[in-house]
Amino acid sequence: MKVWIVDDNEIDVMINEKLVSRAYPSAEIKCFDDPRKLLEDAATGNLPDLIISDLNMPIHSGYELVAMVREHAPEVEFLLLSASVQDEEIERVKSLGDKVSIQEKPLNLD
Amino acid sequence: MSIKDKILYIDDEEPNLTSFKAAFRRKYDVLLAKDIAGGIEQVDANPDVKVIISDQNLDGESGVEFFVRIMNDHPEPIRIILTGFTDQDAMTDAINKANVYRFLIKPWNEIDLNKTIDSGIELYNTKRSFEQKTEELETAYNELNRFVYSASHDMRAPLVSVMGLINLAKDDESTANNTYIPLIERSILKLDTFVRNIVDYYQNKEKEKKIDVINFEELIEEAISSLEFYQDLSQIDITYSVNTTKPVHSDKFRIQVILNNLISNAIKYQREDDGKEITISIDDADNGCLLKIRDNGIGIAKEDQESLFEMFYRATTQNTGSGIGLYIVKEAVKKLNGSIEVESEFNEYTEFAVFIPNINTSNEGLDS
Repeated sequence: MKVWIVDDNEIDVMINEKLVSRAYPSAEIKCFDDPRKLLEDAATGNLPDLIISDLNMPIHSGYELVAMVREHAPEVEFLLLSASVQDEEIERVKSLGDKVSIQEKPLNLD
Repeated sequence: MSIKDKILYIDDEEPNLTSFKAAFRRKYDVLLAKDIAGGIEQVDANPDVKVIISDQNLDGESGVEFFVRIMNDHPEPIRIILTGFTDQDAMTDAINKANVYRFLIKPWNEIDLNKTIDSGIELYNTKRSFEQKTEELETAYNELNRFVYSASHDMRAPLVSVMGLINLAKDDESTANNTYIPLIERSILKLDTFVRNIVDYYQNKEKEKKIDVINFEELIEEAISSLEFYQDLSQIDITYSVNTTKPVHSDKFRIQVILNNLISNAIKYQREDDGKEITISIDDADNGCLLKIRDNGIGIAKEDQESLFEMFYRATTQNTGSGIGLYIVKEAVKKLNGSIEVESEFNEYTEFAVFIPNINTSNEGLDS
């Protein structure tokens, strides 16, 4: 399984990477601290199965990332993470379909 | 030289207009009109006029009529009526209808009129000043709220990073037995609870109410499972029973705030012995329901019970409260138009009883 992780906070990237590799030892993981870099890689056509993304990033929010990636690759699954998740966000994510889910940090892969 | 206050005088008799202006033009910026139409024209052109003096008798029209006409568009100017001696009875009703400040008997006496105009102007100035201060206060209050919310919300980001790191450290063999880790965790969780409380407080104040049927079982389960993350529940026997026979309509967010805080307190303030219990019950009440949360913990001394809901009040040095939880509960209960009471025996038990009324969406406009 290929997993990409993106968060402007490097510590959170590191935490998420460790959690993913513990839960899925055979997963191929790539990390980004800038959504633009992720988009550059995505443009080369080489896409993961799952993208774990922070919601509140400068330049592009998690939502924008979902929209932009789905334009070319609608099958990619997204797990959005946020320091605090309100009802409005849960509703919004629901409306994006079942390939997108949201969790309050810290990430829990149980 | 300061700008003169504007006053408007309305009289259908030309000589009166002239002598009024002559008497007062040095002191004030005098505007004149001889009928209702003229009066309206003047007020529209000079909305900053502070006092309007009108003769009651305006050749077929009345001064009171004029004041009633401009009430909606120009509520600020202070109104004075000049009336003949015989009209006094009609005046009382007119004063209420037209919001008239004073009436004076004709023919007017310059000194009395002067004094009356002066107090009218003082009243106008005081009102304006008060309105401005209120506006400034409201703006400052809103800004403060937003600031507190942003600050707290932004504080969560590094907090969750630390919580994530602590989780990693607990799972990592090399650090799992480090005694500092659980201590760091406790402090961080305490800080996190406090920050969440602040965010809850702000949201309780600002968030629109969303009325729905409340699923109490779901909310209680959620509260308990989210608290498991923060506190050790293995020693405590928590039971709940939802006995309502009718659906309860209220705001889910605020009920969550109430449940989370009260259950959290029940967990925190237990005694050291065995047999720790918490019982939660929801029963029908007159057009609503009664939520009771009872624990057999350290209890609350009588002298503390009164101040319990004050911000930052702490009745015990035991444990980990920030003192803001019950304050928020009280605020949330207020928002729901409910009420909360506490009953307690020191070292025996504590029971909180919250009355949650049904909120109909039809009278949602009545906000508190």
